Amino acid sequence: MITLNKLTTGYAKNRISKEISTQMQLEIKKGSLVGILGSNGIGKSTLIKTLAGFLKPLSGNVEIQGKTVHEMNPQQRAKYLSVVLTEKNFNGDLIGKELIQLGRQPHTNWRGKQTQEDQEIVLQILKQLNIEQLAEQMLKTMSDGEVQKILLARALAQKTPIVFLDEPSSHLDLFNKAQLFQEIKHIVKKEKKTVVFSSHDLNTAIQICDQIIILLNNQWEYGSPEELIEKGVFQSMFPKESVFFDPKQKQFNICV
Amino acid sequence: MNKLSQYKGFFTFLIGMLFLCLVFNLSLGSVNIPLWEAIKIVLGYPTTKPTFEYILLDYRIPKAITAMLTGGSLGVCGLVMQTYFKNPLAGPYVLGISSGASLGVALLLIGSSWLGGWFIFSEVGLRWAIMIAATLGSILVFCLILIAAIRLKNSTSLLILGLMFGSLTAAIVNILMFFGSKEAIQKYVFWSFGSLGNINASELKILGLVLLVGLSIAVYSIKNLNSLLLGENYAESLGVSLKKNRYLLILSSSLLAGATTAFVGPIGFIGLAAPHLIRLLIPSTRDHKIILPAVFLGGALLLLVCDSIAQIPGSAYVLPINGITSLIGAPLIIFLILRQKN
Repeated sequence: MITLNKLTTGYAKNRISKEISTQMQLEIKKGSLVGILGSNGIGKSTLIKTLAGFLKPLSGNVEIQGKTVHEMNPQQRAKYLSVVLTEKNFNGDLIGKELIQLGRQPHTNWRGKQTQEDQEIVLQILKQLNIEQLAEQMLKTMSDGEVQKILLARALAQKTPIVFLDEPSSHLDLFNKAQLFQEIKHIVKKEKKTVVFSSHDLNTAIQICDQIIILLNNQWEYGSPEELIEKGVFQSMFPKESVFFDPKQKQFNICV
Repeated sequence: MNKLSQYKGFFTFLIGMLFLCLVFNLSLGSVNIPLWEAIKIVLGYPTTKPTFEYILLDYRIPKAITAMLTGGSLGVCGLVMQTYFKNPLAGPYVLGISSGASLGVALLLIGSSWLGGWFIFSEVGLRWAIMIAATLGSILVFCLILIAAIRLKNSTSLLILGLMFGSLTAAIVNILMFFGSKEAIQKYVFWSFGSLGNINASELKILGLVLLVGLSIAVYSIKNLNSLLLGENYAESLGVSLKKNRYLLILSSSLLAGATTAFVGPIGFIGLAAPHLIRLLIPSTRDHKIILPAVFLGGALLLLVCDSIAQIPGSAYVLPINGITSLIGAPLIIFLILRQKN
């Protein structure tokens, strides 16, 4: 379970702090798929990074199973949560399997020695995500969709109860996106993992999420897609003359 | 990640090459010792010519060990810096540590000639004074880098800062040289040529000890270095304490580059070339458990080869080692880069 206690995220620089999302008070239940939605620059990434402990909250805190995230040291955090980030500055010469194996690092000894069990976990995940053919391929030769799957596989190999994904579907075409989210949905159901992802792809998120956090300017909303539709939150996100939300089809349409 | 046993053949090859080069290297010099005699002496068999034994045991073997130790250390240091800065152009000298050593030596040699205190050193005393000055210079830059590292967040800024420290110290050395006496400048230039042969057994012990500490820290950091291949944020998410890890890596590379420069003078390109060479030879893994020991052997091999070339087989001349390493290292890197493109 993830609890946000009056969480205010943002950046503090030169004593001037820029608040992004304010006073968030909510609980994310174990085994749920949660989307963080909002337009570009509204602070989705900042929120995800704060939840995952990369950034300190301006005020309030995030608790994972009763422990404050930003007070944990990296070793402890690595056992609770894994991440897929937007940054792609990893070494492109790494081969797929090596990168996924790095997900086992928190569970290995001081030398990082992979046990039989570690290797089996990696093989099983390669199979599960159907990416065995990428195991011996270098990252720099892979497509965006393939890289994204490898990164997801790495996060899964870490075997944490919580997974955070920052914009997992950006740069992916419809087919790859569908595959990725099917897999995520499957994992949430089967392994009772809590998965929190950020996205600006509203239509997909409404279809697959159990709960949605919507970030608006200095405001936020939290609830199941149905609850949020009922409240009319989605329509209030955009001016009616450009984007129109159809509550029956549960999707956004561009006004032409 | 990859099992060490998978690369057994490669390590056997490296060690074999190293041994061959060692024997070849020992037989070279102003006195020609036949290969066979060299092997016999190394393996401890009695020899017909005691002079050979004397030359080998007192001069050539310490020199060869120095070459292998410093070459290997520079290689490892370069690898650590390349991984940490995610920059293939990083090397042992990017943090400016060895420029600090040069500054120390320049201040000692040229500064003391101003004070007229030049001749208070005996020959041996001067050697030690140079080592101490180089060490102090390295430590000075090391402390400056550490203070900066506390304030800076990302590794790129640290890289630029290290390069700036290097330029600054080089500038000060230049100005010192402008005012220095002819003899002092000459001494400094000779020091900057680098010399593997100036070390006796007791100095070698101290050098070996410092390098061992630096190498141990690097080995201890292998797991974190592997995590760093994913970038700093991912590494942190895998349990790496970024700050602690950074201090360890700075300490390790300062010990390796600082001690080497203090004892044998600046030696270019080995730290840059050895990791590239090894990565080209085993492209199938980026695991530092494999790469790091391989780079140590590769660096040792490279410097030993350079030292053999510096002897100019068949002549009594010995060329400056720092010149040879650059002469071999630069084309090697050019070759590697051109090959990569295809």
